[in-house]
Amino acid sequence: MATILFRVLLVALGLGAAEIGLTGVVTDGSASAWALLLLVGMPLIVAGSAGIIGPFLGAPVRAGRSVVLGRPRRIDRGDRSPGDRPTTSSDRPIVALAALGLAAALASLTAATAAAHEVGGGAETLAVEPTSVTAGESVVVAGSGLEPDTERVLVLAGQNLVVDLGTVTVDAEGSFQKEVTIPSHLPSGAYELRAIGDETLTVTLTVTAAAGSEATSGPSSTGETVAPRQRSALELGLILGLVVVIGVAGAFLVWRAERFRGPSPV
Amino acid sequence: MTGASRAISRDPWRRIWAAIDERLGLSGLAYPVPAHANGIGYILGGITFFGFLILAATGVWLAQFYDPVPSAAHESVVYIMNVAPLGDLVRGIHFWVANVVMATVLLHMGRVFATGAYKRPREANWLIGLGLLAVTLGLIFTGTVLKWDQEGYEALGHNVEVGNLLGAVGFWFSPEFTPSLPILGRLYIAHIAILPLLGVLLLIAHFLLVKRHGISPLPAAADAAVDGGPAPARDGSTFAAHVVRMTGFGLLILAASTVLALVVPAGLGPRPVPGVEQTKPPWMFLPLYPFEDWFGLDALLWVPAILFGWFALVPFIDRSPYRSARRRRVIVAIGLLIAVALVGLALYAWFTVPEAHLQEAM
Repeated sequence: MATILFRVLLVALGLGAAEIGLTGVVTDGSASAWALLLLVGMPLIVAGSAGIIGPFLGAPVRAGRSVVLGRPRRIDRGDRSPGDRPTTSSDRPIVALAALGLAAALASLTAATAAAHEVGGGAETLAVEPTSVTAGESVVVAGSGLEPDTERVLVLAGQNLVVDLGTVTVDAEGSFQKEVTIPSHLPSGAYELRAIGDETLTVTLTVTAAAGSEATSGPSSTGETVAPRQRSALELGLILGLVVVIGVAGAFLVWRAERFRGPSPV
Repeated sequence: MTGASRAISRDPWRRIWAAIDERLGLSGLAYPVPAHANGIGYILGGITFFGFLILAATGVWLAQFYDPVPSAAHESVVYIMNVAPLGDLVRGIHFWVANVVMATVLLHMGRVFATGAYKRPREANWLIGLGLLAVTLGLIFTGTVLKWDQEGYEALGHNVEVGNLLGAVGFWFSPEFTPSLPILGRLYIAHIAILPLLGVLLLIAHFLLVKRHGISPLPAAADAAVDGGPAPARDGSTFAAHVVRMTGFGLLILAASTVLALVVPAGLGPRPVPGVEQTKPPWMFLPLYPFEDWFGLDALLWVPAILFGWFALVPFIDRSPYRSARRRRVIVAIGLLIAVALVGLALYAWFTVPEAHLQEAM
């Protein structure tokens, strides 16, 4: 079991490393990202996968035992085929490769995390001024470090609500600035202002409902948002009772299915 | 009257069954069931079938309140969630069972692949199964669009763009197909009529071929027979026990989905904003998402085509009579690599920020 868990761990680490590497490859195409993907992620995935599928393909799991599709089969000494090797010697290269990959993954993950922070803390920024506003007033949204001459869609997203604030064009210096008016009907709450392009930049904006507005931070009564259904104790009890009956009936049928013999096939 | 039938006649339930069976011939549907067919791996198809029954029943209820007109669709889903009798619960069950069904379809396919059950004489049934996978994906895709929130609207955008990529063949996916009915209405018809009808026809063919060929034997037993050993056992259990166990699992799924619907209701995003792309697809479509990032919308055509094409060719590539994975190392390794890659791609898509695909295509 420990061996299997170790191999699963390898696959998981490999997927994680490959994901980070892929992210780097897609965003900046750096050599370290490619190295993380190809030299760490992929070998770990292959090594872990090989270790997991090995027993299914006939490789021995433990001395004297073999596995065919997950069903242990005892092998007598005189009943061994050439493929039923009784030791774990064939596992050793896989384990050694996996151990090497694990060590490399830990080292590379540390480096990749640092690199990711460096990329994330780089030039691309989105800011809003002021960061707190009353609905109906205006804010200035500014972005910098973006790809020049591209377009960004500005969106204000809150709970069960998305407002399109229009499109801005990034100038030749990679910046944009736009004054936008926050719709006066918005309820109070924390919103996320997004600049959507090839990738999405976000900044938090706190909105206070305009005085006299009917908007609230909860679901509105206009029928446009979903409100949690209020159920009486009786209704909830009936539903849960029915669930228990269905569940017990299902478990009973699964458990005692062989008692139902039925007609013979025609 | 035989002694057996006299014994049956003393049991009122069996008398009722005998009376029904005499007139409807239901026992003609039965086929030999080996003992291993009641294991979870071999009963996944049956569980999927019961999942479809739950989806049909809950879908009929939801259809009483859903309005497939773009200006009213989102509000009608809000109405279902807020006002319609048990609407939120039924929609939640519909949502969760759809996810379970998708998972059991994939697991069922994985089991058939791993055990080589697609081999002669079951090649046609493997292809029918692939058709059912496509229908299931189509039902989930159209269902996603129907809720008409931001996610659904962006899914529709992909639908339209794929139609454009298909050229003249994709005319049905275009809003220009007819001005008399919005494309949302036509996708609704696809969701409640066209795809279910296609699915039922394929299911009938699927079941008939299972009855014709029997449930596939365990790989070890099949291989032993190929090597001159005894033929695999065709029975050991009964059809009734098989169906009862399927039903039991179906009821368990219903109970679990009801609890999930109460605890984690089916989501509904805000009313869609045209021109905005900020959502990701449901989990079963996530592996396609990175390809869109890297290669654009064209990937939505050729990646599924390659995947389905490869799986369709599997029975014709893997021609050896052996079914154990150890005797089909290459094909199993390729299948495993594809599975690992799909999971890796889904994880990648899950953790990356949404990108605009439709805007780039315009």
